[in-house]
Amino acid sequence: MEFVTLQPLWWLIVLVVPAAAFAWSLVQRRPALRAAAFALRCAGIVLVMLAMCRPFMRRQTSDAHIVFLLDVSESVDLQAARDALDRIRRHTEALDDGNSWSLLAVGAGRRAVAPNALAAEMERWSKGIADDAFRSASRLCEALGGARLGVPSGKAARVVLYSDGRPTDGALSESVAALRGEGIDIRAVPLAGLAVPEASVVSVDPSATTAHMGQRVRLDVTVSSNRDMPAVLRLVHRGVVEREIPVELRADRENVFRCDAPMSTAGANLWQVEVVAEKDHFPVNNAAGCTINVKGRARVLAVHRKPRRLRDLKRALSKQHIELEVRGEHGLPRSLPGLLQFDAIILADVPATTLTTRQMLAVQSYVTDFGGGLVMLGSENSFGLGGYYKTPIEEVLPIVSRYEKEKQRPSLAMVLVIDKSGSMSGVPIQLARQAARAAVELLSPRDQIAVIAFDGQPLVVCEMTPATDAGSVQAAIDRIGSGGGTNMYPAMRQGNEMLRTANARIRHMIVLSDGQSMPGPFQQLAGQMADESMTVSTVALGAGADRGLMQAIARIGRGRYYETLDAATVPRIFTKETVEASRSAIRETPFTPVRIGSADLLEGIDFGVAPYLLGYVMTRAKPTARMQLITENGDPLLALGRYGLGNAAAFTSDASDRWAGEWLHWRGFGKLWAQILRAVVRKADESGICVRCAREGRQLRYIIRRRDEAGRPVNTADWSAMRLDDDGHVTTLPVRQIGWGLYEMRTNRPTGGGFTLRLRDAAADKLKVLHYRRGYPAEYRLAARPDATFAKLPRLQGDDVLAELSPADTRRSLRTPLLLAGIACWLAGIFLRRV
Amino acid sequence: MTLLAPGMLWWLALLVPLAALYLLKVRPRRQHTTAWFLWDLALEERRSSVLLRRLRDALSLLLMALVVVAVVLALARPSFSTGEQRDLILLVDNSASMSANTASGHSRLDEARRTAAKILRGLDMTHRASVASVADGVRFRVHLSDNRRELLEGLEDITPTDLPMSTDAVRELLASGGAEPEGAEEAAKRPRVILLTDGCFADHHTLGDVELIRIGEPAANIGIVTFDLFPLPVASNGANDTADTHRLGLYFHLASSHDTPVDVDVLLCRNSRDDVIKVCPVTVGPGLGQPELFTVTGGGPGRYVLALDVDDALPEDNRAFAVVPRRRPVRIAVRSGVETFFLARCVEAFGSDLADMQLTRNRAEVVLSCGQDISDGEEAPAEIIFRPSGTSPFWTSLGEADASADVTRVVLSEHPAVRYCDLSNVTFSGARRIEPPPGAVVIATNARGVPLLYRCSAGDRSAYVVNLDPVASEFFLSAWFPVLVHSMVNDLTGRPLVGRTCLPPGTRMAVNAAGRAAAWTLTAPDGSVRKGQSTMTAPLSQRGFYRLHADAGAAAGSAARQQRSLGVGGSPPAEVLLNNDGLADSAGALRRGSTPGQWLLIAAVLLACVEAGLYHRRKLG
Repeated sequence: MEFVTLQPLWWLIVLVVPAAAFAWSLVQRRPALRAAAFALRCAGIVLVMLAMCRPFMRRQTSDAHIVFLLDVSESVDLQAARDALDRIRRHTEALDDGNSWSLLAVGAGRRAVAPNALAAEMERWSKGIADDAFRSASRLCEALGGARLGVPSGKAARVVLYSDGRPTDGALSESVAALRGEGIDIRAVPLAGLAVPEASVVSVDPSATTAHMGQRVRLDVTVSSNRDMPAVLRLVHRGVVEREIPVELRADRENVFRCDAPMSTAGANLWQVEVVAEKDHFPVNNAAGCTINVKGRARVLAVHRKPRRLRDLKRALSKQHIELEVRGEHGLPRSLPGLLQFDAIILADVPATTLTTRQMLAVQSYVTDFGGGLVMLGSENSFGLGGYYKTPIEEVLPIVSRYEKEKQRPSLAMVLVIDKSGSMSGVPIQLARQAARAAVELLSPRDQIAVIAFDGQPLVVCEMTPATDAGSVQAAIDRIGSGGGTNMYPAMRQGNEMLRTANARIRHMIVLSDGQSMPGPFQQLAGQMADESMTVSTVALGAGADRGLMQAIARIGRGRYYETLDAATVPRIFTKETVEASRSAIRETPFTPVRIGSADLLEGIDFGVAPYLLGYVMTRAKPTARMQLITENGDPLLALGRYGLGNAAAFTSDASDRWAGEWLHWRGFGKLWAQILRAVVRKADESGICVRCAREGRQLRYIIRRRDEAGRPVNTADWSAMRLDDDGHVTTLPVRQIGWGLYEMRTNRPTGGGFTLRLRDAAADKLKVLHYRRGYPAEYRLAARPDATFAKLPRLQGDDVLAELSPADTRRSLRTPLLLAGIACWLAGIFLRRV
Repeated sequence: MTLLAPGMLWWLALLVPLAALYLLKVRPRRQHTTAWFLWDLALEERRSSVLLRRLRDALSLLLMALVVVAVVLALARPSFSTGEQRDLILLVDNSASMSANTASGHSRLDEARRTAAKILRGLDMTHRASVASVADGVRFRVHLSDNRRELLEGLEDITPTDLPMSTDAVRELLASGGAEPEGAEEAAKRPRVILLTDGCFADHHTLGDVELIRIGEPAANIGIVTFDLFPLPVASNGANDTADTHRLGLYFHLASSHDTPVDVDVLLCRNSRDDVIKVCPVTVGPGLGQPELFTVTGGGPGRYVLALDVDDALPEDNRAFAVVPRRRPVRIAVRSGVETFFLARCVEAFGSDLADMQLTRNRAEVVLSCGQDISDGEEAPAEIIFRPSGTSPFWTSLGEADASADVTRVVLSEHPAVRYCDLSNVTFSGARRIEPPPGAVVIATNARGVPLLYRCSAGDRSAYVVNLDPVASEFFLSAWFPVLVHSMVNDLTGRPLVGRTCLPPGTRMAVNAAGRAAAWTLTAPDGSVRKGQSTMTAPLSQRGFYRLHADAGAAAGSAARQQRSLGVGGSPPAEVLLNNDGLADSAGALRRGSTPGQWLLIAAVLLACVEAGLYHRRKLG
C-alpha cells in the first residue's frame, strides 16, 4: 500500500484525548472488554486517518479505454464508414462497466460525437447534403494527437483508427511513435476508398523547371485510379490542347506516363495535364500542372480594339526576333501572374473604360514592382482620350493627358446631369462626384460647365460657370448628396435650356443614371438638342439602368453611349467624354519626327529619311520623362520613363495604317520598334539566385542560395521580398541569412488560389519572380498507396476490441475500504461496550 | 453542493445497526457486597435518574451517528464547484530556453516543475488532471488522473530538451474540427490548459484559451542562432596542394540579451573542443546582431564545433555542431584516342582534394569522348562529345568538316554550360555541318548557323556536343577547356548544392535523395538509437553529431549516401534572448486546499474522540 501524502497523519494527535480518557476511565466494565472497545475506537480513528492519506495499491488491470477514430473524409467510401460505425457500436456494447470509450469523427479536424449523432450525419451526407468543409481533408496526425486528450490514467489505452490511411497533414510515423511512447496501443482497420469510379492526376513533374526555347522537357505524369479503365491524358498549354494521349489506368497503383513538352514560348509556361476518364466522380482532381520558365526571345503582348491593325508591326518585330502576341480590347490579362507571362505590354488602342481598376493596378504593379515594360501608342482611345487621366496606368507613363490647347480650339459648354436618387447612395454617388470634378479639371479656361443633379426633382448644383472658377464648381459638386426617386426628364430639359443660352462652339451634355426614370419625351428632347447642334452622351450605371432609353438618347443626340456595371469606371468615362467632346486632343496633320534624345534605342535609325506620320495625340511630358522624339510643333512623340523596377514608353502617334501608313514600309520601322521594346522589356536577371520551396505545416519555407557570376556564394545580400496574392493583397516578407550564401524566407500557405513572389537583390539588380499555385486539396489526390506507417500498423482482428491489449498498471484507491473498516471498528467497539 | 459519488450514500444504512446496538441493554455487573443498605440507597438514587441515563445513550448514539454520516458523506465526495467540471492539463515548457539558469541557481525547468508540483499539491483533486511537456510537440507524461502522487511522479519525468517551442503543437492538440461553433455544453467539456513557460517564443498571443504562468526572469545570455560552413574553392598551389589549402567559409549569427555590447571569443574547433583551428574575437551587440563571416584555411570535410567562450545563463546554446560533407566525385570515363591524355588530365585537375571528378573505367556517370563512335562501349547517362563522328542519337546528320575558322556566336550566354566561360574568342576549327535532334538547345553557332555547341537528349540520356576539333583549335590548351568541361559535367549530372552543414534542432532529414521510404537508423549524440522506415527521419532533437544509416533507395553507386553524419545546433533568437518581459500571467484561480470530504473525515474523527472521552468519564453511553 502506498500513500499520496502522509500529512493527514498529524491529526493522530487527537488520540491523546481518548487515551487520556481511557487512562482515567470511570467506566465499570470488565477490563478486557473495556480495553478491546477502546482499541477498536482507536483503530477506527487510525483507519480514517490513513484513508485521509489517500492510500492506493498498484496492481495491473485489464480495464481499458478505447478511442475510436473514424475517418469520414471524402476519400473514404461512405458506406464503408457506416459499416465501420456499426462495428464500433457492437464493440462498445460488448465492453463491460470497467471499460470506457470515446468516438471521434476525423476529417478536417476531429469531433467528439455519439454514434447515433454520427449515423444521422452520415445519413445526411449520403443524401447529398454534404459537409464539404469537414470532409475535405484527412487530418489523421492531428486526430491521433488529440485522441490522447481524453485517455485516463490507470487503464490500458488503445486507439483504433478506421481509415483509408491517406493523411493530408503529414506522415503518420511521428504521431504513432508519440502514442506508443505514451503507452497507448494503436490498431488500424483499413477502410475502402471510394467505391465509385474515380481517377485523378496526382502530379506533373518536369525534368527541368528552367528550359530554353525549342527545348523539349520531359513531363512525368502520375495518375491514380481506383478502377482499371481507359482514359485520355490531355496536355494543355495556354488553354490549347497540345496533345491527347490515350492510356490505360490500372487500379490502386501509381500510373506514371511520360510525355515531352516542346518549349515554344518564352517566359513562365504553365503546362497542365488533364485526365478524361471513362467514369469519374470528383472533377476537381482531374488536372494538375507545373510551371516551366523558358528563356529565350522576349515576349510582348499588344492589345488593340482591332487586332488586325497590328499585323505589320507583328511581322516587323518577328524579323527582329521579338514575339508579339496581339489580342483584342478585352485581351489584357486580369491578374498579375497573367501579365508576368510577358516581358512587355503594348496598349495600342484600348479605352480605359474596358479595363477594371484591378487590371490597371496590376499593370502598375507589373511595371513598378516586377520590372515589366509598358508602351502606349497614340489613338483616339489612348491617353486622356481613352480615359486614362489620373489612372494607375497614367502614373507609370512618361506623359500626362493634360495639354496646351490650340488657340483656335473651339470652346466647350458642358452640362453634367447626374442621378442622385437613393439607389446612388454610398460609393456610386462618391464616384459620380469624383467623375464630375475630374471633368472640371480637364476643361480649359475658355470652357464652361454646369452641373444638374436630379432625383424626383432637378437640382441645379451650379449654373453655367466658366472653368476658370473650377474651385467653386468643385465645391458645389462636393455638396451633392443622394436620396429620392428618379425623374430624369426635367433635369435634361433644364440642361438643354442652359446649353441653348451658352456661348460656345461646342455644346455637350453627359447624362448619368442608374435607374428607371419616370416617363418623359426623352427622344423628342434629344432630337431637338441634336437639331440645335448639341450632343448628348449617356452613361447607364448598373443592372437597373434603363439601357434602352439611354442608348436611344445617345443615338438621337449624336453622342456616345456607355454602359457599366462598375461605378469605379464612371470617372474614366467622364474624363474620356470630356476630352473627346473638346475634340482637341488629336492633331491630324502630316509631320516628321524630330530627334532630340540620345538613348541607345535610336541608334542606327536615320530620322532624316523617315517618312511622314499623319497624326498624333497631344500630351505633355512629365518632368522625369526622357524625351527622345518630338513633333515639329514641339509636342511629345516618343518619351521614356523609369517607374520602380520597370520602364515605360509613350509613342503619341501609332504603329498602324491610320497615322503610320508610310512608316509601315520604311526600313527603319521594325528596327526602331524592336529597339524601343528592347529598351523597355523586363530584364529580370535572376542568375545567381537558386530557390527551393518546402512545405512545413501551414507555412512555405523558401531556401535561397545566392551566387555571383563566378559561382561564389554571396553574403549579406540586400534582399527585398514581396508577396502579391491573387486578390491583390501585398505583403512584405523578411528574408534572413542562415548560412554562407544561404537565406530563408517564410510565408503562410494560401487557403485558396496562389500568389506571386518577387525576390530582389537590390544591390546586384537581380530579380526573381516565383509563382505558387495551390493545387486541389490533398484529400482528392487519391494516392495509390496508403501511408507506409498505416500499412504497417497491426490490425484489429475479430470482434474483441480488447484482444491482445496488455494490462496496464493502475493505482487502486483504498480510501473506501479503509473508511468502511473504520466504521466497522467503531461499531464493533460500541458492541463491546454494551455486551 | 454536488456529490461526485452519490451511490456511496447507500452506506448510510449502517445507521441501522448502529441504532440497534444502542437498543442492547448493557448487562449489569454482578458485584458482591455486605453493605446492602448502602446499595439500596444508591439504587434508590439511580432509579430517579433513568431518564438521564437514557439521554446519555441517545447522546452517544447521536454523536456516533454523526460520525457515520460524516464518513459516508466523505465517501460520496461532496464538491462545492458551481458548474465547472473541467479536466486540467498542465503543460510544462521544456524547450531549449527553459534550461537557462535563474538567479537562484536552478534552471527555469526546475522552477516550472516546482510550480507545477505546488499547483498539484494544492489541488483539491475533485477533478482529473494530466501532465505533459511541450517543446516541438506535446508529450503526455501522465494521462488524466486524480492521483496526485502519480501526477507528481510524471513531473519528475520531464527533462530539458534542445528544441524550440512550437505553439502549433499546442494549437493542434486543442483544435477540434467542424464548421459549427462550439456551444456552452461543448465548451464545458474541453479541458482547461495551463502552460508553464518562460514565454521565449514569438506568438504567445495566438494560444487562445491556454492560460499562461510565467516562469523565470530575463537573464543575460549570448548564444548561437545559426552556424554554417561552406567549402570554398581551393586557392590552388598546383602540385603543392595539401589539406591545409582547403578553405571554409565560416558563417555564424549570435544573439545577446545583454544591454551593452560584449566581447566574445568564438572558437571553431575540428572534431572536439581541443582542436581549435580558428579563434574569432567578435563584439556582440544587444539583440540579434549582424551575421559574422570569416574564411578559415586548413578546414576540409569533417566535423566541426563552434563554441563561445563565455559564461552565461544558458551554456547549452554556446555550442553548435556542423558536418562538412565529403563531396562525392562524379565518375567520368574517357573514351578517346590520342586525346585521352588531355581529357584525363582535365578530369584529374578536378579530382584529388577538390573531389569533384574522378576517372573511372566502368559505371561512369559521364563519358568524355573525342572523335569516337560512341555506339561502341558502355552507355552512360550523360556524354560530352568533342569532334562528333559516326552515327549517334545526338545528331540526325553529320556533314563534312569545315576547315575554315569562323566567328563564334554565343546564342545563350546565360546557359549553365557557358556562364563562366567566354567562348566568343574560341575558334571552333574542324566544325562539321551537324544537324541536332529535335528539342536540342543550341548554345553557340557560327556565322553560317552551324551549331557549335548544343545540349540534347535521347531517351533517358543527355549529351553536350562540342562541334570542334580540339587539336586543330588548340582548345585543349585553352583556359576555357577545363572550365567548360566542369560546367557541362555539373549541368549534366545536376549536382546538388551543398546543403546546410549545421541543422537546427527539430529538423527532419529526407532519408534519401529519391524521396522514397526506406529503412533508417539514427544514432543521437547521447548514443540512443532510433529506427524507422519512412521518407523522413525522426526529428534531430539534440545538439551534437548524429549518424544516419539509410538504405540507398537512390541511384546505383550511392554507397556514400548510405551513411552520413549530421551536425545539429543553433536556436531561434527568442530562445537565446531569454526575454519574457512581454509575457503576463493569465492563469485563473484554481480550486485548492482540502476537499469538503477531508474536513468531514476530520470532523468525524474529532467527534469519535470526543464521544470516547465523554464515555470514559461516564458522561454518556
